[in-house]
Amino acid sequence: MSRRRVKNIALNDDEDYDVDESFGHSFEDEPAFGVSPATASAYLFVRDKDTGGRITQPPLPDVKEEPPQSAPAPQMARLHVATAGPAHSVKVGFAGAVAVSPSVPSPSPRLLSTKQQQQQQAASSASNSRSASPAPPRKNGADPDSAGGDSTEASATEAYKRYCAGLGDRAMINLVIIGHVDAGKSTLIGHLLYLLGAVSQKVIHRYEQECRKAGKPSFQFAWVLDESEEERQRGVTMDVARSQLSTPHRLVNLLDCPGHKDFIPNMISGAMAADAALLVINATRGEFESGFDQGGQTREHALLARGLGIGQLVVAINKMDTAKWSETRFAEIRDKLGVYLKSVGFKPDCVSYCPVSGLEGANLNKPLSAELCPWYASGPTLVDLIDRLTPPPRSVDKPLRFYISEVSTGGRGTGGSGAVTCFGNALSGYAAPGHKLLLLPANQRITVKAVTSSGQDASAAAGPAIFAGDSGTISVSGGGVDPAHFGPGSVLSSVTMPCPCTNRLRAKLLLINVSQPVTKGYQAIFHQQAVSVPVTIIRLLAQINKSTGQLERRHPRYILSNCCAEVELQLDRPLCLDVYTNSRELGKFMLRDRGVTVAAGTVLCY
Amino acid sequence: MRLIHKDINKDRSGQVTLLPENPEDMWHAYNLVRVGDRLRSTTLRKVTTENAAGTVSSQKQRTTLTVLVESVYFDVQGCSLQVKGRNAEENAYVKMGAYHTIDLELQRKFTIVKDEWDSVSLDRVDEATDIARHADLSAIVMQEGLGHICLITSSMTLVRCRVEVNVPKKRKGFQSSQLDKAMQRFYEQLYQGLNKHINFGIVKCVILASPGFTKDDFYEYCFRQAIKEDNKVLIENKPKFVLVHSSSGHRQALKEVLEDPNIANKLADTRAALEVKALADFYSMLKSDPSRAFYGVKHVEMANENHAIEVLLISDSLFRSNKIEERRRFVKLVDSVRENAGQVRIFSSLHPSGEQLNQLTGVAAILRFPMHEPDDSDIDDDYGPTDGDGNGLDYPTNAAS
Repeated sequence: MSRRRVKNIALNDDEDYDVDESFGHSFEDEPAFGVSPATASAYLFVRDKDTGGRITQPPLPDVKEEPPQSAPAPQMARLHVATAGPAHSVKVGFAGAVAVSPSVPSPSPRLLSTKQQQQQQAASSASNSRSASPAPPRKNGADPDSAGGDSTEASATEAYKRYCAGLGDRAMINLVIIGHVDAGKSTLIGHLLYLLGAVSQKVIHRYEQECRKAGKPSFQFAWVLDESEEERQRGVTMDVARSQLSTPHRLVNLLDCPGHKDFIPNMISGAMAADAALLVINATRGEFESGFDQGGQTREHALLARGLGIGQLVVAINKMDTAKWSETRFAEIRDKLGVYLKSVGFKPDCVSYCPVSGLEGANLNKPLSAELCPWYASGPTLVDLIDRLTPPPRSVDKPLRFYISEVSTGGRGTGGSGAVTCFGNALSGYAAPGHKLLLLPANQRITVKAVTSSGQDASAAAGPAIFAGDSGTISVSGGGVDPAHFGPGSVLSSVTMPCPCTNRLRAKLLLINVSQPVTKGYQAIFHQQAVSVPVTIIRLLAQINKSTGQLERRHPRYILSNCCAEVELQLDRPLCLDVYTNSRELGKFMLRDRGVTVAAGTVLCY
Repeated sequence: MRLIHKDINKDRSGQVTLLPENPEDMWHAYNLVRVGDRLRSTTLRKVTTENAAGTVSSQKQRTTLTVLVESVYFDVQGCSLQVKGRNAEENAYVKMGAYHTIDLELQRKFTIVKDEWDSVSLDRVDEATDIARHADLSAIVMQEGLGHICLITSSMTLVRCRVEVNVPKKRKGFQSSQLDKAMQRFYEQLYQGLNKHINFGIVKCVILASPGFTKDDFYEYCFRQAIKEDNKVLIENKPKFVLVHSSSGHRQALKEVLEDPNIANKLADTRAALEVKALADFYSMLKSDPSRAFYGVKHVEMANENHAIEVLLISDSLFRSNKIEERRRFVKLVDSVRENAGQVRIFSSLHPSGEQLNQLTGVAAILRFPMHEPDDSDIDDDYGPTDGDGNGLDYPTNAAS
């Protein structure tokens, strides 16, 4: 396909934009995979050629808030999972066919998002006589092949209700642990797991002996998570380790990240799945300073966490025993960090601090004793702070997007040979065995055979299913499935609303730290979720004011650090991404070059 | 490349006879032969003869043909040059005007007859025939699951082999032996690629680059295998291996490898390193004083009119355009910069820095004094290296997959 040069720079940006020839293959243009006219009305996002291919929403009808009790069929069901303890609740909305009993408390207004309003309208306009409508975009229950549209929807809502009930009064949260190398992340988490009973005394004892033999005497807690030979031998975490722990009000999925600069791509893939972060700081004199310097990872990790959309932060100031639990040291670190974190974008009330000692196990789940640390004796422990984290609303009602980060073929409880097991996170929607899904970018239809999820233990009653916000596995049946098509970066998505997949996109970049100005042709590595591909900036479209969003310069010749710009990117191979407003996880990415994070970006359109 | 014969007249027409000796010479030849020139070389032609009995027999006949060039094709991976054109001289076996494709061969001389030998072409002939030996390097950039084996010569960076293996990450309760097994598979493939694609005779240095510890592991694996298999060539060449840090295993990491001070002395006279440095200088000038760093044809020409250019960075793909007016334009630019005591650096498109310059419209300049930038809205920002029809230039890329 030859690229035609645009001779005259049009004053209006959009005219340059010849959608058909210059843009990557977008799935919206594919002949639809059996989309019936009823479901066609579910396509809320229209590729409007007049506006140069920008994704536009159809004009929103006037929507009024409707309490579920008085809604006509189809009805809006809202599950309100009341929790004891801190008044946080998990609220999700459904466009479902469940008749809501009057005992459900009235919904809070902020939860009714635009999309749900549209669903309501689409649902009510598409079908007014039937109580269950396949028109509202369903997760993947609205498989046009299946005749029982009603039953799958009802079962979806039921399944989720049972799932939430099974979780009990605990909400699930994904916590990523970040910090400079040797801050003590793995040791802290290992010790925490031990104290909360997830790891037995015998195991720790065994590790202790092995450590001593290997010449690394204090690593026994870190070895709980660093399981591979190489990590133990070198004493560093190299890849993200997952584990789970239960606190009184939360079920926490832990993601222990490497702190070393070279392993940041692994850390990015871990942090993408997280809702909150635990930043571990080394309080030892000299170590904190080096970690907090320009070359240290404390800054970069905090920046990446913010860039990846994490809003809540718990800062654990570790190794306080070497700092003799001095209050001045704690205050000094807290103030320095506070200033930095505020400049990065964390709201001060979303950040909490606590002094801990990972090796000794102080202030992890038992409060500090007064003689050890008088100034903090009544303060919250680490577990208390983790308990207070708010899980974000889970978009279970949106079309399914299951992001694959690992694939393994064959064996081991997945249904025999030929079956492919995909490990990953469900970003939105839900999946259960028997569902038909679409694998992208390979564009293959597959059927789900078995599902496991991180919330499984708590939700045994709900049956095997994976919901938005969980990580887990989906196994697909062997017949006709080519394992070569599966790989990190593939997305299993609902058939009716497939995930967009493209290699050319327009994005908004915030340049963080570039050593040289960014011009046309700048090459970097595009990190999104679990994949990284080389990317080239092919056009600089506009420079935008960072805070106000106003256009500063059209077609700039170059962009410097700390600027915000709209650019056109070309990837080396197509990836599954989505506009940021549709899917936060798929619309966010980072650009790195030469080992430094250069920019954080969001996808504007493709 | 050896220069056999050179005959240039006062009106700049003339002919040059060259003998290519190694694959890099083919790249130089590709930059010399243009549409409209005449190329004379021995070549094989399939000749069909019909004898009295009526039977038709065909045989391959070696003959010397002069061809009026119509199209030139360069295959990067194989470094072979194919020139298609019509026969321009009487020949016993080929009619005048008949089409023929000459595949230039090593160790066989060829003659280029041009109507106009410009300074850039003559410089290239000089460069190609320069007898000073330049370092040839081989670099392997890798990360977990992805590796590129590349050969860096003075004017080319070729990706010889790309290895991509799906290495599973660690998971709870996951046997680390499986992780190791996958990495072993990955190293095995890299090892085979290394043996197959790297010619230890011409390579002065083998660079292993990776983030993290992958390069150390691979180094140990490599030599353990070599000892096991009794691979003498590899064991003898052990001192040539250098371990360097890079930020990723993608091709872009090659740029960092070339800038690394540890191997700078080995690379001292490599053009690749010089080009990387020149481009880095341009970017740092763009950062510190943007009105002294211009890119884009119109901007640079405007700067040249004011005798402002100190260093001109230009990509050789611009000289490969089929339109003679464009070539003349750029040659004029180069000549005038030289007249004004400026330096000219011609970047090879096959190096990563050359590719980056190509993306940046192919021509850039560092100025002696700040100059006001011309109004952007008049300038055609999308100008880039193109072929004659205004299509994006399909200069040879390094995709090795």
